[in-house]
Amino acid sequence: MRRPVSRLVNRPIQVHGLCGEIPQVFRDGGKWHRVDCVIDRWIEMGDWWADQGPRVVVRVLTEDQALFDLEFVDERWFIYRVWD
Amino acid sequence: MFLHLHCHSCFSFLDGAAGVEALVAQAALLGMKAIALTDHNTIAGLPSFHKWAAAYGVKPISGAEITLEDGSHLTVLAETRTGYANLCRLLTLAHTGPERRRDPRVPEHELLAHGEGLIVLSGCRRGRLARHLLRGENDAAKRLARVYRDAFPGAYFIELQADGYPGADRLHRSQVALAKDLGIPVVATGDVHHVHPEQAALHDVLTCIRLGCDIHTPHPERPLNHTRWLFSAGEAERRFAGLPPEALANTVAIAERCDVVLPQGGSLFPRYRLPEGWRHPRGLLRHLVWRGARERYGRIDAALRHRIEHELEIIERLGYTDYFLTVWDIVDFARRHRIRCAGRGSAADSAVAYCLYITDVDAAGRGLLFERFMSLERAEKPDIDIDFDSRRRDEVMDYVYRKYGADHVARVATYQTFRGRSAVRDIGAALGLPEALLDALAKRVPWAAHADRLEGLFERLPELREVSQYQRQLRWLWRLAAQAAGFPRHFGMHLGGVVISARPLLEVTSLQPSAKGEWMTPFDKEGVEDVGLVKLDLLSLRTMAAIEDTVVLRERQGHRLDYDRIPLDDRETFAMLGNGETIGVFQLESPAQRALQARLKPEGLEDIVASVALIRPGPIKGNMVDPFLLRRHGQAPITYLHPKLEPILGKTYGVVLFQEQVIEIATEVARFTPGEADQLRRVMSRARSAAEMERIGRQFLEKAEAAGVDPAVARTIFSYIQGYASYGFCEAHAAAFATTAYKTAYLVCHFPAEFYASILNQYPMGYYPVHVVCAEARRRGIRVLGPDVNRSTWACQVEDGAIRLGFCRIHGFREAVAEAMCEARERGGPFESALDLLRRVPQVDRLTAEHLIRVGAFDGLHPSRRAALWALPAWLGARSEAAPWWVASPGPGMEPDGSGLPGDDLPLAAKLMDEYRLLGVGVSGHWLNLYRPELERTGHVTAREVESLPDGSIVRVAGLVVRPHRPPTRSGKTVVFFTLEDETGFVDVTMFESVYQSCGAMLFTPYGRLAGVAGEVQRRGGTKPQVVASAVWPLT
Repeated sequence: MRRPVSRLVNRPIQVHGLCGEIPQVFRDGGKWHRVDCVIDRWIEMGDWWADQGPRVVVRVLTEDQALFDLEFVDERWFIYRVWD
Repeated sequence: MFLHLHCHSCFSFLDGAAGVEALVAQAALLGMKAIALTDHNTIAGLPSFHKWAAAYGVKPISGAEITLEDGSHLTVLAETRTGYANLCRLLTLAHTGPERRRDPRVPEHELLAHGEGLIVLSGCRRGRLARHLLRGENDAAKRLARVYRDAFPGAYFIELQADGYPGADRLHRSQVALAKDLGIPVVATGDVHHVHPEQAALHDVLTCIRLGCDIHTPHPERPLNHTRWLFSAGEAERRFAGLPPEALANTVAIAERCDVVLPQGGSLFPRYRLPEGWRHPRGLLRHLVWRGARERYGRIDAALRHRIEHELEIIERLGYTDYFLTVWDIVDFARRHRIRCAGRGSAADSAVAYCLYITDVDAAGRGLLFERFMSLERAEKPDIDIDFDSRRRDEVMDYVYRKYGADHVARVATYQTFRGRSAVRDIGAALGLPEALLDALAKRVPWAAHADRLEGLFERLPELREVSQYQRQLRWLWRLAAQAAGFPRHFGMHLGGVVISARPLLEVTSLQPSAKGEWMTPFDKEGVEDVGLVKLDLLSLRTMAAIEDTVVLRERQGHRLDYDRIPLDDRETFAMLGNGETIGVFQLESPAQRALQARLKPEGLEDIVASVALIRPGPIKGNMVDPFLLRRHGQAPITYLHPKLEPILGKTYGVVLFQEQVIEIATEVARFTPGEADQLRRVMSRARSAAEMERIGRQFLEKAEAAGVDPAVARTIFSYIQGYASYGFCEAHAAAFATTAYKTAYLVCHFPAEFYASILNQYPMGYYPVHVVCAEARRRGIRVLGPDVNRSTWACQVEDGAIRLGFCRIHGFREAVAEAMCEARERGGPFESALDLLRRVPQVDRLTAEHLIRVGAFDGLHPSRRAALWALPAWLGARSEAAPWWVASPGPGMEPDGSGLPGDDLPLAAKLMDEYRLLGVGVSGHWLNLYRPELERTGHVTAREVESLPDGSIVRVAGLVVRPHRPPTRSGKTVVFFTLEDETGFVDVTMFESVYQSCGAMLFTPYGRLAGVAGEVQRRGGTKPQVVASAVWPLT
């Protein structure tokens, strides 16, 4: 069985329709993705020594069956990682 | 409602960033009625936890997070006393076994077998249940949960933690489903590791220290987020919303079920086993005391009889008859086996202790108050500390184990806390700062610097200020070090603390082995007292060994020296003290003490008692030295800041010298209750954080003002108290030390060669390095002879009035090799050559032989060390008798026995380099011999010449820099004290702030080992001159 691989992206994104803390739709590179379900969520401490605050990470499955880790840092959303 | 049942304090060592008091205080602030302490595999924090819980009105629940043999975690709470005893047993088992000392693991079958009275929570993510569920191994999880449910009926809970970690929601769903399926209750916990969210950084750094990585290195054990703080019930409701509400309710239900289980108060000291013919301990104690009194005093007058009766009555009424008998028994064992000992501490306030030979201080004769040691009002546990000959203290300890049984005797723990230097090294490394930078910084941080004062130090000290890079990391370092100040960093065994318990110790405390293999409780000396154990301090003191060595050296010369009967009024000894010639004298040898002696001109033991107490950071910081001297000599009036101080300070000329005086001031001036005064004593008696002192200071000022004391006066009085923090001596302790100090001064005065040889044998001891001890001996006209293969033994000896260095002084030399050499010498006569020695003593290997050559031990056989070093490989090849003669020949014209070797030798500089490196002292000369011609040319004088120069002379001197240090001062300005040693003796140097800032910092760097000093000769009222430096420079 092939192990899942991922790619670190760390790119800011535009989001719409927050449901609680989770974006419903986000746009990356001109393409809109609609969140189908939230797989997991967690909180990370961030680089406190660089005065970064905590970040919220959500792992979402989009309607087109793509898996993303989205990250909320300093009031902005990023795509942190894309899973293949 | 929600209560925290899973909390780690700093006693989880590098996995806990919460002080015990801070945890309890925050729980109280949040309105929580109870809190549990569950440190990793230890109950070390429980005594302090219970104390603070009582202070803040919170119910303390005792527990631990144990590690099972597979590395999984489990939270265990003691519901009952039986449960507590079982927890102690389990933690002891966890530490049993050679590999378990640092990696404790509880065998699961033991947990299941000794589970009575315990409540078990399934643990954090590292618990086995959570691991199974996170991996989707639901059947395994179910089997496991069933085992625990059945083993702990009604006392096993599945632990839910809303920690914001990946997979938390899924884990919760699985846990709740499993709980429902098996009928197991759930409980919510916080797995608290710090009090506030912002302390997550400290938790992260401590974890990095534990893991040996830095913050830039990912590691699965580092905290992922900041959620493990002591959150409120409201936050718990938010976090656990959506989970069964009983998870929160069960926290309260469990807390209500748990008793307060830690033994508190009372006395667990055992009854003394009476010898045949005795029916009551009281009768035996009285018999021993009166017998001792007759021996000590000869004649017992009415006052003395009354005093002893009074003490005995208090001892009996407080129930410490057995305790005194036990201590007497230990001292009696030592005396019968000729193990030198002397009591120290507040026990010296007791005439009974003196009559029992526990102390050497005549408390009645000196007018010391017994009530300072024991009183019916305070009803404190007595604390008797005894110093034994360091080489034989373990014999005494073995006796205690044999007599009372290993189940009832344990050593006491001690905790080294984060201090300035260790914080720089550890936290700096975790922050990723370069090792070389941290090493340089740590070496320059004053030894006693507090971790919460680093930022100020780095602004003040020029040798630290020069670091210009890494400013952001350094700011974090100061901040985190301040947060970690006072946290235990290393767990170790108290030097002499031992407890003897009437009950089996495992009912009271867990036990764990020390590095030496002795079993110890995890409680420190305060902790053992809190749980009702009585501590004895059986300390090993090298001074005692040196004294015994001196006695033996005298005996070998056919002279009896009765140390116990040394006259306490010897004029020559006091004259020597008054000249400040005290290097080697116990407690009186530091430069500050030497200067004090020269100014004080002590005339009796009372002056030495004052000296011992005066040269402490407290009185120095409180600017008490000069007023004391002036008043002592009648050169200044005796005044008191407040009339209430007169009866307290009259004996010490209005100056605060002793710890008891501080306590009495707090009681009289600020009307502290006995409990508050005891708290003050505890804050004073050990290095605490600045915050703790500030808090008690506020209390003092408020209460003093309320008692009608002028606020300004109260502030000044408290500044005396503040100066005392961690450094005050009690009077009895000072008296005990002063007695030993005087007696060692007597030995230095009358038997200097024997005593200095003994000090060298016991090295490291005392204040000075080896070369200073030798220089002082030489200054007194005693020759110091280097090691000699045909004359030296393992120990240093006295040889025709000179000190012959023993092989023990050669770095890395093994005693067994020295013994083999001595045996070979006894059997076959003196060695005739190096080859002869190598052949007769096969234990001497190449390195040992080389070291012997380099320190000159073969000089009597082979005068050229260069030639001997050249020949050594050939000699080693020829040590076998069968080897042909030419194998041993080091070169043309040279014989195997060494004759014919070239005569040119190593230069003096090379010899000194070897000798200082291997012996710690030059035997071929002094470093300054190399510099003297140039120093003379440039107008430098020697230390001896300084002694005859008048005050005000401007001089240049040079020498080896000895012990530069910056003690605290009242003004806060830096004053550096150090000693220069040259080939003629010593000169003490004082350097004030401006000189230090301009050029003095180099003394604290590797460039400051040899220095030149320009300055003015001053005597400051004494006979001993010192130089007040105007410039200092490295001697190159």
